Amino acid sequence: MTNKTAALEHRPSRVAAVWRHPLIQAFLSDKVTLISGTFITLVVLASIFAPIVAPHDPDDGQLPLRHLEPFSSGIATDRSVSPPVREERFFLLGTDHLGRDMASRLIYGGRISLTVGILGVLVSGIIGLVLGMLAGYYRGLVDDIIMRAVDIFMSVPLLLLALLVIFILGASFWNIILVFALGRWMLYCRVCRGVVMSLREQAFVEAARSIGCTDLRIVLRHVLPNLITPLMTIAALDVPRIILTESTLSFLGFGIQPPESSWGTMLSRGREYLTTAWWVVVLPGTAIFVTALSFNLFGVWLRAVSDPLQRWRWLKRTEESKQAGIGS
Amino acid sequence: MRNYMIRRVGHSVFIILGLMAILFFAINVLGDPVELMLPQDVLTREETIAKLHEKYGLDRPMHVRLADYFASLLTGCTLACSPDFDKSIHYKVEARGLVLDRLPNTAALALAAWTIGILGVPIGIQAARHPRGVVDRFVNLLTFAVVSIPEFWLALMLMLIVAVKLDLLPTSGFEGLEPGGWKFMLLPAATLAPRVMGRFAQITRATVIDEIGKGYVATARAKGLAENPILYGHVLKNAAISIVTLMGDELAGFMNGSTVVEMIFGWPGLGLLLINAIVSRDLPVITASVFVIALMVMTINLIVDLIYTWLDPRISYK
Repeated sequence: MTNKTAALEHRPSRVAAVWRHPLIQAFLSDKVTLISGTFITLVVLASIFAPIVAPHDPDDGQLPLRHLEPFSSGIATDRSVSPPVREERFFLLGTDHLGRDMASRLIYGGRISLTVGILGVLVSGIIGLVLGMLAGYYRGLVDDIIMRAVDIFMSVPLLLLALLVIFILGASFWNIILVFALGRWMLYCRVCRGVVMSLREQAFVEAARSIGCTDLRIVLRHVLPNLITPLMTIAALDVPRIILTESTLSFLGFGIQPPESSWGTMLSRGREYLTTAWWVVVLPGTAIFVTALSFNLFGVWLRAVSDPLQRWRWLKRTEESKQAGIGS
Repeated sequence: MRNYMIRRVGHSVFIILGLMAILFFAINVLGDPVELMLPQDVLTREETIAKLHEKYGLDRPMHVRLADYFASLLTGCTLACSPDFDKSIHYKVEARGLVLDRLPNTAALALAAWTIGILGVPIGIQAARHPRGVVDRFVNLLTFAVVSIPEFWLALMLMLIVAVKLDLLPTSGFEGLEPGGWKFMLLPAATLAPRVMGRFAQITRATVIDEIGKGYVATARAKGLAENPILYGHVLKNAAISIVTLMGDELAGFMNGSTVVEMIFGWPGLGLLLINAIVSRDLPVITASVFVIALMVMTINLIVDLIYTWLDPRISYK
């Protein structure tokens, strides 16, 4: 009895077990991944809680305070109360050509850039997933039609497709999501089709079919879980690509339209003041760069640890990883 | 082989026709070509639209117009929805000639950037020697950094530092493709090259690491071959299929992907033409550009497929 309780007490708590999980340890031990993961978390949190985090109203233009350098302060007029009050304000990252606070605009701009990136991946991923599963599971004519469509869409460069869609339908937030849905679904479709095609021949699917499972149940309960990892990996690496393309579109004036602004829109406005106020160009560009880089680095880590042939290089050789069978 | 070629070319033709059909559908069914081209603030909008419909034969039934569209595509006499539509609205000249004039400029810039990018292959091989080693970690970080830089931002920064601050090169412009024009090509090519180099290094690294684990490398090492001949002779040729695929994709992407760079540096290529056509709502030029870009992409893909059969003779097509 006493031995038993002692053993129970020595069993690590659930938190400690998660903490010592090989994946968590691998994440924590690789500095590059840890930094990029932390940065992504910070950007996501800042986007969600933008109204709380942003120091000032991003649309509050203070014309007398235009193009203030970073780390400077000035006397602003608060027009939200009447009569207007004059107050001293500190601008961490300076102000833009209309005297708006750069830091707040970067936070709100990130909200839009990130939303486009994540929604674009979600919508194109779901379309690709459904079509890929249909093609891989039913084969035959359905497969032929879907794969020919993939061939056609693969032959259009993404930016060209984007420009055409915007030309025909006009620039708006949802049309930009549509661009990425149309332009990126093929990636997911191909991978899904390949995985489903190999799975449908395997014994467990046959067994499920023989006990009378419907196609829908087989696909949702038996096939779908096997698709999550490959799709997650593509998605993580596609978010930065979409963010970069969105910023390019916005820079060209075919993306997010004012008064809303993404990082790309900010950059395209700041371009005129490149030689007089470097921060209006350098800061949004750095924001795009660091965010895209973080997603890329995190995505490549995700791909490495989900690859059974490669992941041992990334895992610490701990007792847990040996037990989990994913060490070397 | 000949049968394969015929089937492969047939496939490309099918894709181009499918693409142009989708474009026709988008322009003529989802929208209206005349409305797409007219500015929003025309006063007698309804009347003008009706008049233009009649002029361009847009009042005919849809299937007749579709047949007409494809007939004109195949004979090559026009590239738009009706015989009257082939002149550029903005430039008042034939749209096809306009596009074909710009093509060499885009191709030259693409080739320059792409050739610099091939330096990524040896970088990738060096990184693959010791996966997760110091060189590999550094290359990994560096390649992901260069593919994460927004191209237009890099263009602006290069312009600001090299052309404005240091005054070494002209900021923008174009002086023909003759040797004298190299000064204008340097900055755009330098903007486009890093991303391609990073991508090439990444794919080379990944496939070479896969290949090194295979049996023939152990055999080559066992018979006493030095590491460099193994890597550059045996491994690289086996890894070449994926590398060549990506090289083709990147070159195809350049056919319009350099739009932003062309715009910033004033390089008169297809991308700049397309952007201007979209801004001035010049439908014939847009249709012609899409057709030519798709044609270029198809040709590149076809060449890549032919290189496959040369790299790996087992890929002989039934």
